[in-house]
Amino acid sequence: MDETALIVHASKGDLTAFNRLILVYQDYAYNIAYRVMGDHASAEDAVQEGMIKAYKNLRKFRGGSFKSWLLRIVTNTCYDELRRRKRRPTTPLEPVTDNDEVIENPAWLIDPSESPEDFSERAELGRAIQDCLDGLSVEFRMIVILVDIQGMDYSEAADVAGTPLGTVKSRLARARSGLRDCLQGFGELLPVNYRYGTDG
Amino acid sequence: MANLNPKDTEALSAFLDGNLDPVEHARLEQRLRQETVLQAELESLDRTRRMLRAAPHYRAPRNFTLTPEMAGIPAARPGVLSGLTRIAFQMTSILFIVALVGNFTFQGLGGSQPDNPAAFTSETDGEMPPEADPAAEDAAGESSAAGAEEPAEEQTMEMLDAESVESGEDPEEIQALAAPSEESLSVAEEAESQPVEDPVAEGEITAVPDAAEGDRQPLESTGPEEPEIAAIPQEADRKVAAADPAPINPWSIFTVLTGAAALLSGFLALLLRRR
Repeated sequence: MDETALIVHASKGDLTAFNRLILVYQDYAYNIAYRVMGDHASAEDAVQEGMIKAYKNLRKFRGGSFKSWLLRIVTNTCYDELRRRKRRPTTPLEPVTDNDEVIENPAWLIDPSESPEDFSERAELGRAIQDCLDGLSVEFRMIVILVDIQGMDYSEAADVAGTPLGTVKSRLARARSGLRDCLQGFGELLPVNYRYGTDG
Repeated sequence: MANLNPKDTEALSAFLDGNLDPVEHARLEQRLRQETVLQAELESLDRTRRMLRAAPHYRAPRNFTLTPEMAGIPAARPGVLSGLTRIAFQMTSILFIVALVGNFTFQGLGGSQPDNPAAFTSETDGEMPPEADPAAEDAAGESSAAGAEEPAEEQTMEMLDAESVESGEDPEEIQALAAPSEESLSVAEEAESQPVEDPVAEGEITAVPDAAEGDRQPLESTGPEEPEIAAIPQEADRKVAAADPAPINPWSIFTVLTGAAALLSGFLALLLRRR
């Protein structure tokens, strides 16, 4: 059954059809949520809540890209949660290192094709990127996640973020500039081929 | 890099993604050949971009598929309507079983009652016991009398035949006159079982060697006539059935109605459950 048929069935209340759509897009949704929220537990909550909202509002879907529509709901859910946290700050319960860094779950990072050194480098890079992303305001963060991490083009990112194309362009430039400044601070901690001032 | 304004950074960012229109693209390329600061900015942005694209992608740690509870779909609970339907179904089922049991019981007790619905209804009315019913008593008395009078009736027929031969009358007319009336047919019907018992009685009597000759004579004379006697009530039965169709057994109606009600309520319950 193709996506359109699944959407039609799901909008009539077929939960199985909607769950099949979820299985297609849950990795995208989870990656975005994780990068926006900064921790896995919050990302899981946001994705689950977003999927529930999507199912309940499926009748409002007016065609176009279902992927963009679904991811937009998930990103809006992330926004809502971050706003709520601003109003009521909480202390995270995730396990942290001595340097107050959240410990990544290695099971989600393991790629059997890469060596332990590569894995370590990628984990380090991922941690550095996440730290820098967390330093950006959520609007800029969202755009750079959609374009540079998720690999979307400008129009798709504009669709998901619900912003005009020009805004995407300007926010992306500022976000990249800010991340560059942040990542330069990691210096020697970054993988060799990504270090600034060297020939990568 | 400090000399660059945000517009330049934006142009360089879009240049990296190939999202500049051809005119702007050509202009920026020309500037890049001349301005080292712009080249350094482009290189650092490109490195950042590559780094971000190399960031690890995570698989969802679990499936985010929805359960009916999450989706707000209420679990199938028996509603008021389906409860009523269930009760109706149970009641009709019980009635159906009662009807079946009643049907079998009365058939088992009565034996020939389905063939004689009038007698069946008189018994089931239960207002008066069968022993106290004078009509039944009369009928029984008449039937026994009819059984005893049958040989006499045949003798009468023979006498009539002989007279008609002497007087020249039509023997068929006489037989029609001598044929049993409708009233006597029901009596004959009751007595239908009587001739079946007669041969046994006859056998018993003839087996007694000390029996008087005068007692045995009439019994022997009635022996060969028996098949004709038995045939008369059967013909009468057919005539009665043709003239007056047998009334429908109320138990059968009850059985069919309760069966239909049970099926209907079952069908309704199935429809409601699907909704």
